[in-house]
Amino acid sequence: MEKRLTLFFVSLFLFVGSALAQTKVSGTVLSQEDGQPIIGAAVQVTGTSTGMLTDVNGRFSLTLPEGSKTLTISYLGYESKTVNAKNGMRVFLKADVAALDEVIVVAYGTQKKSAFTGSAAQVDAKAIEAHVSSNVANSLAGAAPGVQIINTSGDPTNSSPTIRIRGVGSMSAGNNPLIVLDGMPYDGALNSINPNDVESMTVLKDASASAIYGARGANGVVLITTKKGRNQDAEIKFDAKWGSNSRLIPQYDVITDPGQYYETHFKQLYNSQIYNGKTAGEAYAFANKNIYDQNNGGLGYQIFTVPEGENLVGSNLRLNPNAKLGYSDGEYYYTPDNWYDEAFHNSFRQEYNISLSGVTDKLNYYASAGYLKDGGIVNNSDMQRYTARLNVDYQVKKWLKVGTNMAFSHRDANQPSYSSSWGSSGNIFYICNMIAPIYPLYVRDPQGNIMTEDGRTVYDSNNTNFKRANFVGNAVRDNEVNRTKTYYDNFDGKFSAVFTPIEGLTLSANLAVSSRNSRENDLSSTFGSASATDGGAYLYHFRFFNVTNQYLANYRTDFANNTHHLDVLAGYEQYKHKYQYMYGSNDHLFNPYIGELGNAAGSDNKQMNSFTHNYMTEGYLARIQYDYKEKYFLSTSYRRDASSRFAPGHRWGNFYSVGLAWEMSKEKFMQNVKWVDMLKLKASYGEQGNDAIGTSAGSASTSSTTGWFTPYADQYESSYADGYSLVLKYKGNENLTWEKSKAINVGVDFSLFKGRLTGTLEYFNRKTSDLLYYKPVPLSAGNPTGQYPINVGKITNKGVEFNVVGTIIKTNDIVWTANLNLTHYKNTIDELDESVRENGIKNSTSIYEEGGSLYDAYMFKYAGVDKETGQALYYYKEKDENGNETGRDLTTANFSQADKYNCGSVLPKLYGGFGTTLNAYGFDLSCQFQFQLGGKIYDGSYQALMHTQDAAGQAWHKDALKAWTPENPNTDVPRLDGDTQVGQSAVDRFQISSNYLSLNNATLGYTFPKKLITPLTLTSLRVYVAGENLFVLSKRKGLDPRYSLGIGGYTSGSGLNTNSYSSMRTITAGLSVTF
Amino acid sequence: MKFNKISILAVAGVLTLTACDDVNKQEPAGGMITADQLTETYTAIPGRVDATFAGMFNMMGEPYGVFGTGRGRADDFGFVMAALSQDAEGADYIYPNSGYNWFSVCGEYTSRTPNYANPYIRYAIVYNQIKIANDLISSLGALEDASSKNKVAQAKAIRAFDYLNLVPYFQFNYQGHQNDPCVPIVTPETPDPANNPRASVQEVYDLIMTDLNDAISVLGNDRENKARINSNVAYGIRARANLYMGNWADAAADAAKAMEGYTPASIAEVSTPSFVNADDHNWIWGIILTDDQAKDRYATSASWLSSFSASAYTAGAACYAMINKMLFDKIPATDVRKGWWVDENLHSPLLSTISWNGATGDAISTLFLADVKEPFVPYTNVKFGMKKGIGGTINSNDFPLMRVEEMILTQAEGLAKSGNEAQAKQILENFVKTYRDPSYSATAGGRSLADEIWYQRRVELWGEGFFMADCNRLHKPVVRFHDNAASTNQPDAFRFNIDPDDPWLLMRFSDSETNANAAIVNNTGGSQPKQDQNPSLRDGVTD
Repeated sequence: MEKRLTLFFVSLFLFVGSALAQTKVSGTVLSQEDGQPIIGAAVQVTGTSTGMLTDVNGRFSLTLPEGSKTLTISYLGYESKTVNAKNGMRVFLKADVAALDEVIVVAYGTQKKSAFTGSAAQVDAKAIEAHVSSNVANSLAGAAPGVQIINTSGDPTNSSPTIRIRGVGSMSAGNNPLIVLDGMPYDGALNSINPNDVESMTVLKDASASAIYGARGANGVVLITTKKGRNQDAEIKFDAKWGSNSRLIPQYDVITDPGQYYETHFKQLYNSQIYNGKTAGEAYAFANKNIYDQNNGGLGYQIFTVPEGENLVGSNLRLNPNAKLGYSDGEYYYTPDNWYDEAFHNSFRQEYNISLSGVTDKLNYYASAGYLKDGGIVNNSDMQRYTARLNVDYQVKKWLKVGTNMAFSHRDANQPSYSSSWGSSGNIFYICNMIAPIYPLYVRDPQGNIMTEDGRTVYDSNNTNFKRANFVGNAVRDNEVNRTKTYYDNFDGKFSAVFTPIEGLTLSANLAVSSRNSRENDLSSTFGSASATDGGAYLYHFRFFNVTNQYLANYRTDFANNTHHLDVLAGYEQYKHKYQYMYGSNDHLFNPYIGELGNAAGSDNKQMNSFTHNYMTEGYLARIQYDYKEKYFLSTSYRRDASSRFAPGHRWGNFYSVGLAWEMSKEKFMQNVKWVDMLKLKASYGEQGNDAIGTSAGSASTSSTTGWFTPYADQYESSYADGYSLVLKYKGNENLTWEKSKAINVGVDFSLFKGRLTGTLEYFNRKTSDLLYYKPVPLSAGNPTGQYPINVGKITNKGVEFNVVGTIIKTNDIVWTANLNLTHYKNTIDELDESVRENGIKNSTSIYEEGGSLYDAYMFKYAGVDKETGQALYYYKEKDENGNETGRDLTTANFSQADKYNCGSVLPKLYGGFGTTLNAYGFDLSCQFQFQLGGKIYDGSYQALMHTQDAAGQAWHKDALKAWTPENPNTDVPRLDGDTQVGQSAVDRFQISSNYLSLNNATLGYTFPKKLITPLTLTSLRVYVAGENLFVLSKRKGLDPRYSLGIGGYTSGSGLNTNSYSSMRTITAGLSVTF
Repeated sequence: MKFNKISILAVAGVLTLTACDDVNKQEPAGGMITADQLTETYTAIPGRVDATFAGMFNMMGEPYGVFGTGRGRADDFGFVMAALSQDAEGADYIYPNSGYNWFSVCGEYTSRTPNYANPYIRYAIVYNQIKIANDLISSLGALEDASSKNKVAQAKAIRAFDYLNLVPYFQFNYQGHQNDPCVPIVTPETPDPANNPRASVQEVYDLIMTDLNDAISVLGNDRENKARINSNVAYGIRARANLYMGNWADAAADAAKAMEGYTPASIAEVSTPSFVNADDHNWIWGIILTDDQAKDRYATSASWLSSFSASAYTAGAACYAMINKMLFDKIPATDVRKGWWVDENLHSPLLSTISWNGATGDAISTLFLADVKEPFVPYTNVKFGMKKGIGGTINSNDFPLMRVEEMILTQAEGLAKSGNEAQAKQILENFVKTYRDPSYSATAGGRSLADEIWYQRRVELWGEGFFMADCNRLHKPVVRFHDNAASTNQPDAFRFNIDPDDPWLLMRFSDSETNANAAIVNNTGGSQPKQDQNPSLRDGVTD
């Protein structure tokens, strides 16, 4: 039914009008399939423009002009029918199998899919509901060609994935698509939208679909449409889910045996001497002396008891067999804990949603309320979300309809301490992944009991007689005693009035308001890292306020016997964004558990700050859509847009698009090709803009030096001490203007074998020019950020997308479908700034060169192990006596001599998704997979786990055991002797295939038969179990290649994975009841 | 049809409401100040123009000044960090080889890696300040009023100070290397920083001397505070430049001018942890941190140099700055400076003058406060105190850039090397006997006068960033140990000696410079020192 209704709204304005009264005829239009009334079917007096749409009961009533006798009844998705007019008639329409998914949501409205000349991917409510995720964007993962979803965190409180559509078009500007919620640009948090309220998500990928969004459409547009009423009979739906969250990505394959760890570390200390010219005796004595000395490369802790006079590691470099785990120095007992197991656990997830909706002749309403409690995989990590939505349209007068769509959501979140990029002692995820398996988590008394103090567990924070060589404090303790609580209030309201002054013309005024307030209370506990200040309270308040004004005029008409259809749209849109920030902190908390400033009595460390940032765009837009006999289609759009991110005089840009489509299957010569239901060729070209340079809001850092919303302006920071002082922090560029992208899309849509096989094949080519780019300047130029923004350079993203859906079995009881989508794209840098054309732009781990891609890795090249010495070898470029490169690459064991190389693109050659759905005898089973092939990723975590002596006390990957020794010369792991020169430099040795296959979702449900539930006054009842994020297969255990596009180094790349909140697996059971 | 008009009017009405010039009125408020808002401010309050000038000094030790608070690097604090790095690369200043030591790249000499942050910060902070000095020189250079001329003079002195800091990083000593490539010169006249080759050592010194001569010709004795530059400071910088160049007599003369009006800290004054307050009468010039800049911040000298902050890498992670026992052992027991470091038994008389959490005297050494204070290790420095109180979290210690004591030693060295050994010796003995060690004699140490002066500099100026520049100009090796491990408290990985001609002593230009400045030819040669290398090298001081 949802199809029929969507169309109802589309075509409502087409036929509302008046006609000259003659003979009165009324009747009902019904579906032949199930006998249900069809709402919104077009009933037209044949050969005239007189007609109307059926009401919610499928009824129509009109007056026949003189001489007219027949009515043509049509409805999308059904074969149209011409019948003789008869009062009280009942017309049955037959479903047109070829016309599935007829209507899609497009920019500023909806459109028949057949008339759509652009490229879009749509995900419907069913697919969204199948996902057990607090974020609606996750249902796009693997489901739509050309769309990449990069999940940078599994944090239930903060899990908004990064969305990339058709590659990456910008260097320094944002690559995020524009999100449009119910027709209005949306800047809110995606996880504030209850996925249960979403009717569909459409991703507009090419210029003809999105150029009308001008200013912000260059990276694609995601349209989110919320639900409306469907049936005349009010429908009440209740949905409940209960489930369990667990950690998805396992720990890397690290050394877990403490003895083995000591032994390995001992060997490293030994090697650092033996390969430095010392005798075996000296080297052994050195290692033996330093193994516990954390200030001399040792580990700090003794956790083994060895018999008097013996050493932990013997001169054979093996652990003393008499060593017994556990050591007491009389004051404390030391034995290692498994930090990983202690900190991570499963948690409970529950979600309840109720909605009621319905349609009367003047009113359409949808109301919902939802509650979600999502747990995390460490303590004090969870989110509660309350959502409510009311969506009402009311036909006040024949010529006026008003509507409102209001949503409120409130979230309470508890966040553990971690960072998405940085390893630090306070980061619980980093510590648990990186700490050596030799350190106690708790302090134990000499009897081995975990000690307590005033009822609190005493954690080991270097407060015993031993000190760790690394990792100050205790992040697990801090996570127990510290609190980061955030409260979010979101209001999104859209208010609209639609006037229909004359037939075919609609004038609409829309106002959308989005208000987000969040308050974060951080408590740093005196029982944790804030003991020096006796506890601290940190308060952050963020306020976002967005207003969109939109005024649209739309005229639809047809002429020459309904063979030409014309649809003209013109309008004005204005968007204003305000971001306000306030911060305050103080210490000395009287009550150690209350993290509020009123509880903080300190006088020395009071801090406060606040600021406001403003941003605005406005634009004029126009679009013409035309078709002849629904066979030849033309769509063209224009937008003139201004952005406050650019200086006056450089603000306005012009954007346009043209799209053409030919529905070939409607031509005579195709009529005999019975197996083809529909075949459409389409092509489009357009130019769009991107202004997303500068910092986007939400960053807590006030000293961010990347330009904020005024990247064109020089920016200073002031301070006061015996007078004012001012320092330049950011160098702007007055001439900065739009980055432009020119996109071509060519494709074919098809439907074969009576709809059993449908799909799309598309080619796209998106050229971005005048790139918004932060051009590096030499440090000696003294520019505080080392760069300034300019428009320079060109990038192309081109590729092919393929999407196919097939119905393999279709009987009355069994329907089995399968889907597959594939995307291949190539990212090429066509042109760079003249100053860097020759040598390219070298970033720390990537390089931009003409002909290369934005994702070319730039790092040292590993040449394996010198079989004789066990030293790591690196490549360098040979130079002649004049210092010119000879083109030959040589190897060296002296890292300082090694050169960095362009190691090629890391982007995957192919990515996509596939899935299947089986419906049989009331059961439904579906699963959706996602994959990526042919790319590479930098595994910074692995590098950290393959460390040498500068990281004593850090966990070790078991691969370190394969290190070169004279007995084991054939290995690619260099000898363990502390190659400190390499340190954290990026080496291609740590790059690995980013291929993966993930099972994003699997659902098994059972819908009870009608005859069983009707006596219970239920309309439908379904029970199900669903698994979200069930597995990820990657090249290395512990690696999650979905975290980044592949470029990275020691502290980034997949390194994020161990420093940040690991991805979660969720398994739920639920039931869904409709009354 | 009546409603037609109504609806069209209604829509037209709201359209006119929103169509206005708003897009040109979107400005940030707070946080960052745009150039337009600056103009607005200057129009309303003309005196605010001085803020840019103040900013040139304020940035010198600013926590997170190079990479920003977002990165929050604990070693990002400008010239102070550069000074500590220079000392940590030397022989006398030691951090443990632990995971908390952000200066381990200096201890082990991986600071020659071109993509490391440590050399980046040491280089960027200097050129960031040069840019501001250049901007001031160009905008005020043509003005004739006294205030503008004074500002330009200070900016030139700053620029000279900056280049003088850079020179020993990138090239060996002036004498004999005048024509070797040094660093790129950036002045307002520099056509293109993106294609700016290394100037020769001579060219850089020419600029330094011209700037200092200009500054001295304008500057008087007055200034707003000790972060600013007056004639004393300008003379002092020129004294250093002359010392680097080997103009001994000039160095002595300039040092004498620099110290006019300043007196060394007395024995009593340095018998308690100090050297953190620019108001002290022995400070000629310093970096003054405000409380706001320094509150609870790890990127401060209090966090890395003082052993008495409750918010520090030193006390918090036992990453104490220690003196090499080879030098410590050379200090006579009668010298008050022997107490600037706790001895092997964690004793120092200075500790009895202070208290922390109720502990006083040597009890402070062993005091343990979980997450706050680890026990001292042998040779931990207690030279540097806490401006806002022992055991506090406000890390706003000032950092000395020029003390009268340095100028006295400079004067002595200049005289000694220009043939006035007797006078030099007298000045040296006067100073040490009066202010440090009453039973001092310049010959008791058995060193040559030149080495004796260097010894005095190493003890007196420990932790203030002079070691490597001195090594460079004196052509001395970096001697961290003698023959065997027992001779020193250097961590094993940092235990090596470096020949004065080892090209590894020269820093490498950061990737961020060479990637964007095509004309730079980087330093090459040498390799990371190996543990226990050159065990027989001696420096004439700790022999």
